[in-house]
Amino acid sequence: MKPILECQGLSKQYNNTSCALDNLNLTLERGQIVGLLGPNGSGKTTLIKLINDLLTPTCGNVLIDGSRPGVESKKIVSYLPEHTYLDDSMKISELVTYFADFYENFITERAYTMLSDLGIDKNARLKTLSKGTKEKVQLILVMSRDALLYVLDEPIGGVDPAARDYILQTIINNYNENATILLSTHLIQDIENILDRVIFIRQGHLALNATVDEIRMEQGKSVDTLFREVFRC
Amino acid sequence: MLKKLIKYDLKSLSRFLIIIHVFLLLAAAAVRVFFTERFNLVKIEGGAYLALTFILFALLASGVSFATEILIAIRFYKNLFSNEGYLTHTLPATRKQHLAAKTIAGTFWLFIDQVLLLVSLFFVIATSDVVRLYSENKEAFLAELDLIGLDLSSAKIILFLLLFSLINAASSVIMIYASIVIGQRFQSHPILGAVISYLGISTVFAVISAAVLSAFGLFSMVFDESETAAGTLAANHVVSTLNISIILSIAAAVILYIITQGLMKRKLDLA
Amino acid sequence: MPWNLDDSRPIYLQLMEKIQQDIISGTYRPGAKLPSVRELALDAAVNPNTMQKALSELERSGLVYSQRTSGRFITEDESMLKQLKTELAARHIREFFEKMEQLGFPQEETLALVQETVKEES
Repeated sequence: MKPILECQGLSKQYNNTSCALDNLNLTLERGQIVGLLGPNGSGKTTLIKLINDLLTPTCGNVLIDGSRPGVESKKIVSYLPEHTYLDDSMKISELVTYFADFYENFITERAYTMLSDLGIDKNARLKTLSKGTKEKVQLILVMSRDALLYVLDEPIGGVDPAARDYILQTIINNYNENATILLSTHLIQDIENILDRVIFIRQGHLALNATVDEIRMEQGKSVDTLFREVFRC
Repeated sequence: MLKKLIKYDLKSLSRFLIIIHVFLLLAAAAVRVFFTERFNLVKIEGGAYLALTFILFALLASGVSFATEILIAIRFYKNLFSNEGYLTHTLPATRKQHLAAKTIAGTFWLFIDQVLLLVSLFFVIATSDVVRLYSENKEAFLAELDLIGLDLSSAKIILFLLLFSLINAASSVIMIYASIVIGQRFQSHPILGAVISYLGISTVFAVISAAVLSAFGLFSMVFDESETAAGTLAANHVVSTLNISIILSIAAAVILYIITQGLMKRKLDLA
Repeated sequence: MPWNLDDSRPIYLQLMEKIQQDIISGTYRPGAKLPSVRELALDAAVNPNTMQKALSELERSGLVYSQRTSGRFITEDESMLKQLKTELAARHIREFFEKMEQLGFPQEETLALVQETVKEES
């Protein structure tokens, strides 16, 4: 079986500035939850956008399930961007139908269960909801797909700690053995326990790629502590 | 996939467009009931009011048309290049399909807009008096317009107007989309870029049209009346001008569509 | 309620300890069925793969056995449970003595202190 994600010499340069990603080589196997960690501007979002075909690589390749980003990869990748990306004028129930219409692997029932768990009215229009609730709706839609690769950019950034717990639960709950979750965050401590593996990115380069328990076993410290040491200013 | 994309594009466009076109038709009905139908054309004293009413209605109608184009432009920009683009571009569809869906949906609505515009204009102008006057003096009327040499059955006129509206709608929509996509190249000012591109494309199109028409000797409205029977010449003049305009519109639309598709396919780079 | 896990040691080891603790304290009775990996992972708020690893390790030690289709069960081997209890007790005692030594009490003094405390309480 091909790895779910493979980056080969992947580089991205915006308008003659320095490289946001520089010759990145990375392979992700199936069935893990991977934390993509790095300080602001290290290239995390650039990598995520390249995976989702929102950017074109300057050089190198990104392969999802063995092929370049395109219609086929979009069927199996479920993507949560860092900001809201839904049409504000739509009702929640319309958004659910929209996702169900376009994604074959979207499970409507799962979405409605999660919406009612969080007490979100399906007849409400998105624009009437608070920022935190909008983020929850987005995450619910993204996690209601039976995808092979979930790419979550800062999934817990803007929500309160209680909702954060629910979101982590949602991730654990909907995760299946064949799926891989790649999530970027600054809040390492909150998610450390749900990660199999962490990837540190620094200035567009891969700085570390190891499992959480390897780090704890070999270094005797948490990923959070290690992160603070590696990226000390 | 294309069907689904078109369905959602139409749904989104229809939200406001239905409202403003219902408003247009209501306004037309009101103008007819309260103004045009009340004036007796045979007595001329109502003429100034009538002219004013027509001008106001024409302004309203062109406002509706302009709003339609703006709403189509906004939908295209918002859905593909704002935050919503993050969802649109991660749907399992190709960029070609997105462009095709939006071109079809936009053309559909602009076509509806132009048809409704013609219908409402006709409705406003063609009061029973006018219709009676026209049918009583048809020959003289056509002769006055130098159109007597043409075979002008109503069915033919309607068919031609529909075809002309459709082509005009498609080429306008494609020109709007091309401007927005080219505007995306202006990294920090994509909307300003789109406006400039639109003005640029319009100018180039106007210059080329003028050049082509004058090459065919059709640009100037002055023509030699003595050459042949005046009526036929004027009619031919109008028909050839329209034909050439249509061909030019189609050519421009095809070229712009190919350019737009190429730009969208080559590089997206959503900020 | 997420389980209380510390920062520096591997997570799967801590999960194993917590489950052992629950077995000894009687939260899970001998022969009882353990919740599924997913349920346990949700309860602990940890990665299901890590929970899976902890359970596999427990299986290897014999404290837990799995039946192909119906899930994982706690061993009914009383002697094994007793042995686990003794091992855990021994570990706690060792840790206790270490701490007392850090406070400056040699083993004999610690023992004397313990006896005193027991007398006072009874």
